[in-house]
Amino acid sequence: MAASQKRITKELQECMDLPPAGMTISLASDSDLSKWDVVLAGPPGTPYAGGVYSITVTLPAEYPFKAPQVNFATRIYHPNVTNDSLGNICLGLLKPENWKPASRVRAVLEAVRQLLVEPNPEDPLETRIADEYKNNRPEFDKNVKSYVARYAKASK
Amino acid sequence: MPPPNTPEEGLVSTTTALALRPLIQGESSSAVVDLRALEYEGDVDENLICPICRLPLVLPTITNCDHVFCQKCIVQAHGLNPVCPVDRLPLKIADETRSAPKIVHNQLDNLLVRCPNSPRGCCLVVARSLVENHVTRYCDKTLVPCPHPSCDKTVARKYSEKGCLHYNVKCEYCENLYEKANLEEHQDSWCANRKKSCELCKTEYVRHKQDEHTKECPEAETPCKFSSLGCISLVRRKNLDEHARLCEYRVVGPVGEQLAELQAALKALQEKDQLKERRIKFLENKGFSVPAANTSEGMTDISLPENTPPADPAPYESRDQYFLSLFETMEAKVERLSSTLNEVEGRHSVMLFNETLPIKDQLTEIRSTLGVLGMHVRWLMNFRLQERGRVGTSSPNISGSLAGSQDNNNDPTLTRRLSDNLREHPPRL
Repeated sequence: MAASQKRITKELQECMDLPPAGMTISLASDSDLSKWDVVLAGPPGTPYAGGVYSITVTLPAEYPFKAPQVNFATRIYHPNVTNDSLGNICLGLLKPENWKPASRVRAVLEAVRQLLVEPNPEDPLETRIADEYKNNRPEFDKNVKSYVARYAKASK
Repeated sequence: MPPPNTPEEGLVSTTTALALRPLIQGESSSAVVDLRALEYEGDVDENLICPICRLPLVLPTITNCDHVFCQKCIVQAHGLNPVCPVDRLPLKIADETRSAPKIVHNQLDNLLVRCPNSPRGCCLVVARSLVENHVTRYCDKTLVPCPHPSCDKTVARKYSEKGCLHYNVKCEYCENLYEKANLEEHQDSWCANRKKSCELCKTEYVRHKQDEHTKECPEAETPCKFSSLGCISLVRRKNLDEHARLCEYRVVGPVGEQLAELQAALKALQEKDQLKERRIKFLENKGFSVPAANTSEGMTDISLPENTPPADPAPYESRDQYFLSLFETMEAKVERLSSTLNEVEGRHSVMLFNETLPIKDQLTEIRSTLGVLGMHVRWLMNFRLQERGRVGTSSPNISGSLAGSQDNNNDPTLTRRLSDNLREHPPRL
């Protein structure tokens, strides 16, 4: 397992030195490399702009052979994220049959951010939100913004 | 006094070990050194990094889709999902992967790594392919089993020749008890009182290394570099350069240096001369002593120096030298003898070989002739027996006598012949 520890340390170092756009990354606790806290600023130019989302990344013991688990800790109104306190994300990259050991956490985080820029209503977790996104974009944008105002305001 | 295994020695040995390495290591890389745990010196080319473990490749393995992984990583990844971990094409590990090209191995072998014993103070940086050799054979800091048979602890190789060091001693600076093997490390980097401020230069140094500090303390007074020429002034080390510029003896400095060189040369020449003289004297003496030594062997030889002086005044400066020269000639003689011996041995073996070869040839020839003869005899015997069977039943008598006459005193053959007879008869009856 030493090798996987080393890989995680390396990835963490890379992510901290040069974080992906709009993110800050830290360890949930200094002693545990497998739990990362990510703070993601809603990408500008999207209804999520202005929101601050905290995301938890959990790396399984088998990492990099098994995909990391990524959850939104902040509630978010999004077709591909469960609208509950679990915040499960539907991301192709993370599905067991799609996960490749060669993928990196950084790529996962960038994909999550991309998901906010460009939701994927064809493969939704919340069908209602997906329908709304497809058919009634203004209503969707309004709901997103109200969620941002309710849950995702940066703590002052 | 440096320990027998100084780091410099280790360095030299690792370079000489370069030639040995392919024999020692082969493909079964690193049972002792985990190449994945190594610390690499400088940045490693991204192309040499395994996409799975994100470390420089270990036993690089290439797939048919041209992706390279550590052997261990690809096996592990394949166990979970039988596809290429990069492009997810189906992959059969047995047929569709092979060892990466030699050039990749070479590039990886050349990566510089730090000795894994660096936390214990080894600061060697060496090519990855050589690190195992360094650790297993030369590194002073490698932990080896304690030489004491009843002690099951490990100790750095540097100390392993000093016997078991796993007993407690009191640190002279902090009064705590430590194992002797760890004492030096403790005093180097852990002891609370290890630091001492120098009275002269006010910088802090490790107490344990006082001698080293004294040698370089800028405030310590040291003699001028022209002291050998007569300058008696003592100057602080940091002022030495300044003093050298002003020293009255600097004018004669270059001359002095030349003088020193000449003196050294002279000394070397003197030594050489002495050696030659000794040789000459020995040779002279040998010519004289041979008839005397012939009468009775060793004893006269040894007592020679005392006996000969009247005839050959002071042949040697001392008995030691005499013995030394005696020893030298003996050595030369032994050398000559052993070379002759080798020569003789060589000649003998060649001779033996030459002799045995025709003998062997003849032997095989004889053997084949014997076989042919045996075949002939058997055929003849069969022929006779058949003939006799056709003639009548009185034949056993004749065949018996025939067999008897053929192998008189060889019962087994006789019975065989008889049984041959028997075997021959039933169909006839």
